[in-house]
Amino acid sequence: MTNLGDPLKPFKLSAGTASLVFMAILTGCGTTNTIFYPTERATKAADNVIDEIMLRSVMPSNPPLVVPTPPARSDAGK
Amino acid sequence: MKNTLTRLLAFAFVLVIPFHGYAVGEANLDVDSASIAIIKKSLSGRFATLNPLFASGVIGLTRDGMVAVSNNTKINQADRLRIDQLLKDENMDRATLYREIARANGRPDWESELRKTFGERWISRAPSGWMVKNAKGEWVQK
Repeated sequence: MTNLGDPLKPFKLSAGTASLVFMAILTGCGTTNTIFYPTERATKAADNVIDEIMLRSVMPSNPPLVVPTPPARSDAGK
Repeated sequence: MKNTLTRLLAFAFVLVIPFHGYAVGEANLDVDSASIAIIKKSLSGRFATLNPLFASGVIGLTRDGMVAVSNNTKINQADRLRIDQLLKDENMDRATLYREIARANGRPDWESELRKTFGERWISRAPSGWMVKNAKGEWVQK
């Protein structure tokens, strides 16, 4: 029977190559995350800012003072 | 030995990648820096003056997050200068807001994208009846 050897040998990486590939992928992922514009987070941020601008304009800057009313006195027991 | 090291690296790769993406990509955008707070205050202070002009259709929202005159015939000569100055101040503040948000998040290159996002959101959150620019660049009533 002929020994064909390890069929996966051409695909095996040395430790050095594997670590280089690993670092390249990590760097690539990090870069990709910051290159792409975060549409969803930007939409959320824009909504918050717009609400703040529109709502603050209709709210008084100094809210009216609320004078606490004394609790109702009970005459029971007199 | 080499085989073990390769397996360890592969294992670390599987563990680290998802968290790496999460840490870099998921934080909220910073919209609360000191300079942004000043601009927001200025914009909200002016909004009460602009609101009736939006409601009457004199001015409207553009798709790049700005404000412009939508119907010149509704402005009389006496109000023209005042409205022009209002829009100039408003658009200057808005441009600064988008630029400052991009800068506060360490990405000045996001400014034009932020303008588009704000443009969409202003139009989306505007009340019915306001004038807005459609994709063809025409003024339409929302």
